[in-house]
Amino acid sequence: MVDLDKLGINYEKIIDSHIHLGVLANTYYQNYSDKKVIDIQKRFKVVKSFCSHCIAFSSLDRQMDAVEKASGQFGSHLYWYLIYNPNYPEKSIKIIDENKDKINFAGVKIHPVFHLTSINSKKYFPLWEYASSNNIITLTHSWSPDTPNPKQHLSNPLLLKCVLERYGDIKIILAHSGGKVPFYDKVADFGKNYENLYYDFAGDTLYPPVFRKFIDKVGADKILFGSDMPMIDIRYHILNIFNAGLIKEEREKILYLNAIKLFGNLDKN
Amino acid sequence: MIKFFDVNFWIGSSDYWLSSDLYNDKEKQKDLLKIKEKLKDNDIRKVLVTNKLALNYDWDVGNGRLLNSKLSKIENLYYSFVLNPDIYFKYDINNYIKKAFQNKVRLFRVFPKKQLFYINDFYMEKIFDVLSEKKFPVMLDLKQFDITGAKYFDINVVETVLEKYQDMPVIMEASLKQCMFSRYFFPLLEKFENLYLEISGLLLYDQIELYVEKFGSDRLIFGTNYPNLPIEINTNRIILADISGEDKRNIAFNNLNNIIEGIEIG
Repeated sequence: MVDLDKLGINYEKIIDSHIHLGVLANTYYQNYSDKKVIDIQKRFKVVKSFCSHCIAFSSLDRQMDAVEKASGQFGSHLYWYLIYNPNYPEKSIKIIDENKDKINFAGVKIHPVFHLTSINSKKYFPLWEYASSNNIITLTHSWSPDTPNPKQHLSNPLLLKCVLERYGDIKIILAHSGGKVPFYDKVADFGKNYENLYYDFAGDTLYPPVFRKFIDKVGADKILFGSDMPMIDIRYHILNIFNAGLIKEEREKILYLNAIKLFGNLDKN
Repeated sequence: MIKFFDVNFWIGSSDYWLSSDLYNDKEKQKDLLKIKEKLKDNDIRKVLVTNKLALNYDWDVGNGRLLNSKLSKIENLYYSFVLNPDIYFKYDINNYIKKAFQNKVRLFRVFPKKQLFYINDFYMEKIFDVLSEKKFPVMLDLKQFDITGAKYFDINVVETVLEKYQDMPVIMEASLKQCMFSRYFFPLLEKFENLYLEISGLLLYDQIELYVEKFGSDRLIFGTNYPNLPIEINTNRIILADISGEDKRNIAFNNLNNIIEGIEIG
């Protein structure tokens, strides 16, 4: 294994604000194991991984067993987003409420495409109410509506306007920040209006200029490092940020300082 | 040091989905020195260049502009031509291919969804017959067989090409999201020795390592998909891969070089 530092890529640590454990039916994983994912994270100096478990997208009932099992295996390395399924709002809130103080709770994950529910649907309003009352961070899948997959329009982040205007105090991380290069400008312009929006560029769009674009429009304090492992090899995202022409201070904010500031309750690793 | 042979380097006009930043980057590519610098900085010793104009505007105009550009002054720069059935009417296929080879063309690329034709139609069969006879490589993009947009591909069509033209090396790219496509690729790689995968879309963790383990390093071809992806990300991914030095050299350079050297133009 060639170390990244031999390529002149040096950093102290990473907090990965967007990973998953578990698999997805439409993706082939060779010899998948949670350990393999976390080992890779640790190999590249990820000191905390913020995670949702894929099984919860399909089955809320199985979520906490999976979370507890992985928590037992990886301890304080993992922080969790619990899933809110808009088709089962009460059940979702119940699980979150009952478990948030028992685990390393990071916040709530929503996936409008997976749950076939538009991000501005009333079905999400119980979550926004709960998040507002309990100061809970939400990580949402967000994507450009202009893609071959028509379902992605459900996760158009610009649709959050009505939500943010009604619940101005809630903190939302836009996973992928819209996901498509031509859409980034619109998302960044939209974000200028909302202090509590945060951004990651996790996923399969590797585009180093996006960091400068968002720094210029919403500030370096709003950007988090996210890889979307195991869907994407974290090495691509490390290389992505190191090819973005950032100064060290900006890079460190994105790699870990912003996550510490946003989530606040991390132990000192 | 690993040297690279890039099968997937684009120049030309901006694509509709690209941002202004990438457009600017493409504009810069018109500057010969910039291209030379870019290739040298990344140890890309050989490169196959495709003109975006040939994809988005007109295959023949775009291909022709490549030949008439100053790119020919760059040593070890070769061309890939976009090909569609119109060639059947416009040119004598044998002569066209022979002349293309003389003009440093070493690859043909086919985009049936984008340019609206059926890849196994009567005309394409005639064209593939000639390419196959000459062992001339063809590059396909898996997304061109995604009829619905929901990533459910018309694999039978691809199989027909691979089955019928087994002397024709077929390099498959999937331009991102390939991490989800292994179930399509595994059986094809098992069945057809003339199939190669271009690596710029192999984004799943350890995926390059997995393909090497399963099928050997001979089946992977280095490509950057530049400027749609930064060059450094793909070169470094090979440099960082958990595979042997020989495997890295195969993927980075040797496999494509062997395919190109295997062309029998006659």
